[in-house]
Amino acid sequence: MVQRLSPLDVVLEQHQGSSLSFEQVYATSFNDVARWIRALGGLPADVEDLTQEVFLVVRRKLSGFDGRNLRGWLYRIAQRTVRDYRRRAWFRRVFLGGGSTPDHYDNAVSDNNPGEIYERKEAEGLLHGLLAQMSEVRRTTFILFEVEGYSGEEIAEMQGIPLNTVWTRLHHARKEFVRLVAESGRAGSVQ
Amino acid sequence: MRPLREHLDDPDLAIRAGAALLAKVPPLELSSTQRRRIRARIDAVGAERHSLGWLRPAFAVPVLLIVGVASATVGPRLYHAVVPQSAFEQAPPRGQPAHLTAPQTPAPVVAAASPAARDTITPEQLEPEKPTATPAAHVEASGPGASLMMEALQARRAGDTARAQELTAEYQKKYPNGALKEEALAISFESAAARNDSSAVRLAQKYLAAFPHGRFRAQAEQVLANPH
Repeated sequence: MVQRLSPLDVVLEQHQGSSLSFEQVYATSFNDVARWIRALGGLPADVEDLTQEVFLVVRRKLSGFDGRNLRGWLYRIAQRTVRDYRRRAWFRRVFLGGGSTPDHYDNAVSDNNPGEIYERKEAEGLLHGLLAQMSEVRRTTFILFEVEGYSGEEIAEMQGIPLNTVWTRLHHARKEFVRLVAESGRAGSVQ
Repeated sequence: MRPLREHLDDPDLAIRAGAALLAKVPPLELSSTQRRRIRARIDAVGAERHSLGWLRPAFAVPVLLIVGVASATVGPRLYHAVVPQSAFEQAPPRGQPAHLTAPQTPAPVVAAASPAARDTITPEQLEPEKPTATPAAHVEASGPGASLMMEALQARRAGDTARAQELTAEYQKKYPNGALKEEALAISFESAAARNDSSAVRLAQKYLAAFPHGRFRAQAEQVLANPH
C-alpha cells in the first residue's frame, strides 16, 4: 500500500495559498505520475517517456495553475498525455504495422531476486491481458485501488468524481476481474 | 473496502486466484536513477527550446516573406482564372471610347505558343475565359447577345466562316459595347482571314485598336503580317 500521507500531501499542506515550484512538484509527485500512467494504460517501455512528457507540460503550465487540487490537475495532464500516446500507438499499429508489446516495469521495489523478477513479470503480463478486456474507466480505477494502493478518497480527488462513483466502479470492476480470472482457468491453479 | 489482494484466504477460488495474482504485482516505483534520468531529459529539452528561441523570428520572417511573394504572384492569376474575363468588361460611359475601358490583360498563353499555333484561332480560344459550368449559366453571365455569339462560334466550328462573320457583325451592331465584343472582333477577322477576305486586315486593325493587349493580339498581328 502507498503511504497515506504522501510527500505531495506534505508539500500541499506547507504551501496552502502560495505558489509551488516545479522542483517541489517534480520531487513529490514523480512516482504518483508514473503510477497513474501505468493505470491509464501506458506500456512499460513508454512509462519513462510519458512521465517526461507530463512534467514538460507541468513545467509549461505551472504558472497558470490555480492552486486548487494539484493532484487532480496532474492527473488530468497525465490522462491527456496517455490518451494522446495511445492514439499515436494505435496509428502506428494500424498504419505502420507492428507496435510495442508490454514488457515489464522497471520497478525499483525488490529487483534483487531473479526468480522474483521473473514471477512478477509473468504476473504483470497475465494481469495486463486480463485487464485489457475491461473498459478503460473500470480498469483505471481498479488498478489505482488494487495495484497502486490509492484510497477511494484519493481516487475521487484525482479523478474529480464523487466517492460513491469510485466505489461503484470498483465494485463492478472487481466482479468483472474475478469473472475474467475464473474464465482464464487461473483459479484452478490456486490451492 | 479491503483491497482484493488481501483476500488470499477467501473461500471463493476465483477471488483467491485474483488476490494471488494482484499480490505479485507491487505498486510501481521508478528508481532514483530513472528519476534523475528523466529530470536530466526535461532540463535538456528546456535548454534546447531556450537556445533555439532566438531562431524563431529568423525562421518566421523568411517564411512570411516567401508566403507573401507567392501569394502576390499566384493570387492575381488565380483570380483571373476563376473570374471570367467578360465580367471585367463594362459598358463604357457615354462618349468614352471603348478601348479606354478594355481589359488590359496580357496574353501569355498565346504569346508562348509555337508559331504554327499562332496561325489560327481555335474555337476554344474564342470562348470567354473559364466559362461557367452550364451553357445556360454561361449565356447569362456573358450578357445580352451571348446566344448570338454562341451561334457564331458554332458556325465557325462547323467551318461556315461566312455565317460566323455575319453573326459577329450582327452582334457588334446590336451590342457595340457588349461583353463579348473582343470575341466577336476576333471571330470576324479570323473568319475573314480563313476565307482570304481582304477585310481581314481591316478587322484585325480594328481589333488591335480596341484591344491593344487583348487575348487574340498575336493572331491579329499574324493576320497583319501576312495579308492576303
